[in-house]
Amino acid sequence: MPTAVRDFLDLLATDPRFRESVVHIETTPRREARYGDLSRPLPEELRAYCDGREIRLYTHQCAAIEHLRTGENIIITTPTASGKTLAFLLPVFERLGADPGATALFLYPTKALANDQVKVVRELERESRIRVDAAIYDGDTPAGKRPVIRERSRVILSNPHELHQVLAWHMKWSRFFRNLRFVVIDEAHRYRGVAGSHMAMLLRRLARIAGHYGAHPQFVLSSATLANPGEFAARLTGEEAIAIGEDGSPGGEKAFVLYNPSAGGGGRSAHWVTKDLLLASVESGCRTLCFTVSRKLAELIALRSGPVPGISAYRAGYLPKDRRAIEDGLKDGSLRGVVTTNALELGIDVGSLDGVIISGYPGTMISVRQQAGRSGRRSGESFAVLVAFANPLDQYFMRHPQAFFSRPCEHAVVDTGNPYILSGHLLCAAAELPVDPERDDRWFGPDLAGMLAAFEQVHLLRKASIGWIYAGQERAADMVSLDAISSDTFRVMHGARLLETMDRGQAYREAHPGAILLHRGETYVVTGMDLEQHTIRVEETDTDTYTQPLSTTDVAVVREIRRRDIGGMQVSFGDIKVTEKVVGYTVRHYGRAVSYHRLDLPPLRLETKGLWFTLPDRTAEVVAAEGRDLAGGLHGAEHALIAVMPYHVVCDRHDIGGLSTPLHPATGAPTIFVYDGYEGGIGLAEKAFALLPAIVGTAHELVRDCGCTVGCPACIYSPKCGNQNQPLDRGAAVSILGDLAGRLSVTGPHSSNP
Amino acid sequence: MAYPFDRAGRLWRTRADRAGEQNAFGVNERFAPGRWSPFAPCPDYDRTRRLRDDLIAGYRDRAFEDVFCGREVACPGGRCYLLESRSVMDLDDRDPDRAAAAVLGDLTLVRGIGEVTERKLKGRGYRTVADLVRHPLYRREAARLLDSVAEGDVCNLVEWIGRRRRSDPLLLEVSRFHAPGDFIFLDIETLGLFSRPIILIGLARVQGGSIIVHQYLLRSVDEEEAALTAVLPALEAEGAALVTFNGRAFDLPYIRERLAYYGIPADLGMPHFDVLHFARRRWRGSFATCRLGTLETEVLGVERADDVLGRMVPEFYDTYQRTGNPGPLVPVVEHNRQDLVSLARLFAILRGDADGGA
Repeated sequence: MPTAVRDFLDLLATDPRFRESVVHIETTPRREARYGDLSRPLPEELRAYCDGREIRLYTHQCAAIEHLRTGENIIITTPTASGKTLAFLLPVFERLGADPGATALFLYPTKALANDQVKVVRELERESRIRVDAAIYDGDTPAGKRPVIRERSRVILSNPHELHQVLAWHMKWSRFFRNLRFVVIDEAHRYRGVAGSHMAMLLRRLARIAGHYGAHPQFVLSSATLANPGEFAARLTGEEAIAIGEDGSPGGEKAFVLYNPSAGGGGRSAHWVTKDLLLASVESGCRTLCFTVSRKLAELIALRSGPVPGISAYRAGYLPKDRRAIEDGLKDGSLRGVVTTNALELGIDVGSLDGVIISGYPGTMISVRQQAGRSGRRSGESFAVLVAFANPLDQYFMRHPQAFFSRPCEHAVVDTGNPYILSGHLLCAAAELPVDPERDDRWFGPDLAGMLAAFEQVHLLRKASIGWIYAGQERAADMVSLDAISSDTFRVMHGARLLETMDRGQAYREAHPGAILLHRGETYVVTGMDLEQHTIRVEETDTDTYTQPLSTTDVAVVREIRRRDIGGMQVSFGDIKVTEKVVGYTVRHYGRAVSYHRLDLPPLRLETKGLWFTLPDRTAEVVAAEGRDLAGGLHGAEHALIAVMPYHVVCDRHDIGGLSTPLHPATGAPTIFVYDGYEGGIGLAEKAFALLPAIVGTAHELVRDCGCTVGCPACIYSPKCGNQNQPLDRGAAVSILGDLAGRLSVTGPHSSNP
Repeated sequence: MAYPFDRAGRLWRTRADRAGEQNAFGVNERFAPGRWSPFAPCPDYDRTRRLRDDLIAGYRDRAFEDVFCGREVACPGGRCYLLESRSVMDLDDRDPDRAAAAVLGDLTLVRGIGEVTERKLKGRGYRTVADLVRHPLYRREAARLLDSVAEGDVCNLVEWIGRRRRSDPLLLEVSRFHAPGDFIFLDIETLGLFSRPIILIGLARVQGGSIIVHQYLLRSVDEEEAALTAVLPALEAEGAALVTFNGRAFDLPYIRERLAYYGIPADLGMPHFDVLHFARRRWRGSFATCRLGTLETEVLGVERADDVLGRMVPEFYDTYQRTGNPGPLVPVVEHNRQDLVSLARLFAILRGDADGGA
């Protein structure tokens, strides 16, 4: 029997527009459900809930229930539509039903997700009649409602930012903390790298306060697929957890298509191709979700799909009520296609879809799985299509489908030793309860005494008989920010109507004066930008053109703090300033540049810490003698260094940035910079400076031993490259890295201060 | 591994300093209305800064104990430093009959009786709440109120009347169940709006024609626990009644939180008269604001010289903390002392005392 999905797949195979570009189709066969048994049945109310909805528990749901019953912590990494939420809601409600005082805290990375999930929790509460007074407690909760929630609710949904503020008021939460039995962390995979370090410390502060009230809650982590779930959970929470990853839920047959617009020698731009695929899918009758790598592309694709009704764009910058309307539309079928950024990667419920189109490799296999996982039905077919960009990284996957399908999900790393992050949270902890070095080293590690002493030196902490107390004038929780997102928000106004909000970087790049801005299918032109008032004014316009910004990025050395001279190389660490200047924009018509305009915007500045080193003249000469491209080699070496850094420095590759140039004004030589992506620096480049010989050595091995010929995502292609992974010369990179590794291994790892 | 933590320590110090400068005015008003208004004219700020610099210069090399003539006291939580001072002041003696008459004369205190009903009842001979004991509808409520009055149960009466309105002048009449010495006038100075230590606890009492001020000034923040345990007995004493200016919103919750921080159990259920509420009711619209400083000038005719702005106290104490120079603390102590004396005098005036708080 023909289905919409089958129609679409047949279309891809036969239609001359598409068939040349289909490179590979990987089909996953349908999967039967595997049901489990519980050693002890669920209480009657919950059994009735399940029976009423004809729910039989899958193996992984039973595993979750059993492990939570025995008091263990768990991390569930089964896919999105596998009934993950129920896997933890049932055991939590079972416990709360048996113990009338017991409480549970549910943490979500965004308010939007909390708002979505509270409905699910309330529904279970209503139908099971297990009363928990589930409520959201976050920045949007009105002051008048807060005391009641604190006093009465047994399930509170919140987010890390709110928790960070609330812990200092724990006296007002004593009932809730005294009875805390579960802490549920949804979308836990988001907390890796620096974000993970913050979350890890926040959870330790929470556990410490719960312990003060006599509680020892269990942790429940719900996460995307990871290479190291058990290790990740242990690092994040400080406690051992059981990993539950075998998916017992059923699945229909799924076709994963690798689609390469460049294969047929065609030169059509990715968004045109994506739009055609999206329209074909929707017109075949498939409910389709299309992921893109940028906000702009999301709008563009949705716009170009204009003639076909029922297609909308979706972005995090939209107003909440607009986002909700789109989510509901997708769920009830009134919207047939939605084009989005990774904002919809999060588990917000949009029903199950027939197909997903991924436009451009999203950067990690974790994201690929999350996005592709949005399509899929219990039975019946579904599909996912990855549309490759011209980027060498995407093209590599098209040429090596097996490498794509066997590529494991990334490791999630969480550093619990970063002194900057650790110390900030220590200050917060001291403001919450006096710190007792003997009792609290389990939360803050063996260097606690050293940190306390250092803080006493600067009069931020003071030793009292009861412990170390916070003595600062500033509120600790206000000084420690959980992320680097600036509160520098711009409002896009159409007359008196607020269209959306964006941060400064996005505003300069996409909403500069003269920019063509797409919003929910309408085209606007930016007529004015008020930097003081943080407002951008737009007017409707009717045009086929769009604009593309041009920017230059510069790194300047502000102050060298440390230097090492090794083997003829000069390696430095210090304060640097990364400046991005949006200098102008081009107006484009169907991909061709029509005109160029200059812009006079202030530069975007990031003052941070970084390391840099120069290439000795000899090395550059060797590269030239081999007939290779110096710039391409430097660039490749920079990518390789950043690729291996997470293994030595324990961060996420998104936490660091890099820049390479054949000639830098500060050094007068070919230079590579590697810097922290956070204002003020966060200790990453600092650690890399100390470990540079090992890092360079590993980078060299990575590129040298790679089985590819001209480079690949495993060695020198970077998903984050601002220059489209151009120019890159693998041979030169091997040469350069080999030379540097040799020089750096000459002396030992001890530094000397200038 | 001292090195990275040294750097981390200095990083936080710099951030704290930078944030402190920005926040001299950027105060989050939702947490303590009235006392810390978010806007102050710049000249005051500069003047206070200059005052601080003058003090640092003037008190260089002076020791704390030289500048502040007080004594160390031992208390359950440790040791702390106490400054005592006194000036002339009198309050009306306790007058339970007057208090009782005022309460019982107000029939609207009984649930179900509004102004209209009160007029009718009084017209029919029900002059006081005692008379209502005969009334079939209101006898039960009236009896309860009568009991509270007979027992002089100020707590209960304050709650009863306060349900209607926090600023009801009748509350001031109820305070006459107390002797002058029962009143504890309280004002604290802190290192911030919340989640930071209290650095000065000021308590005052009126006795034998004088107002005696006890100020527990922290020589360093590790004496906070001691200072809290030093004042707790007075606050929890039998018959004590608390009088503050905006203490309902600020001083009392603040003390509660710091007690919880140290794990010190306390009840603090004494009757509490917050003069801010009564002052607003009496003088709202008459003056620019109802802040203590304004009322002090307008009603009491007191002008302060070289006063430190309330919101600058944290910075002054922090300067002392970091330099050891006691100079910045001098105006803080004087500011607190003057606050307490003015508080007591305003209380007397609002209550209608004979001496009018002179």
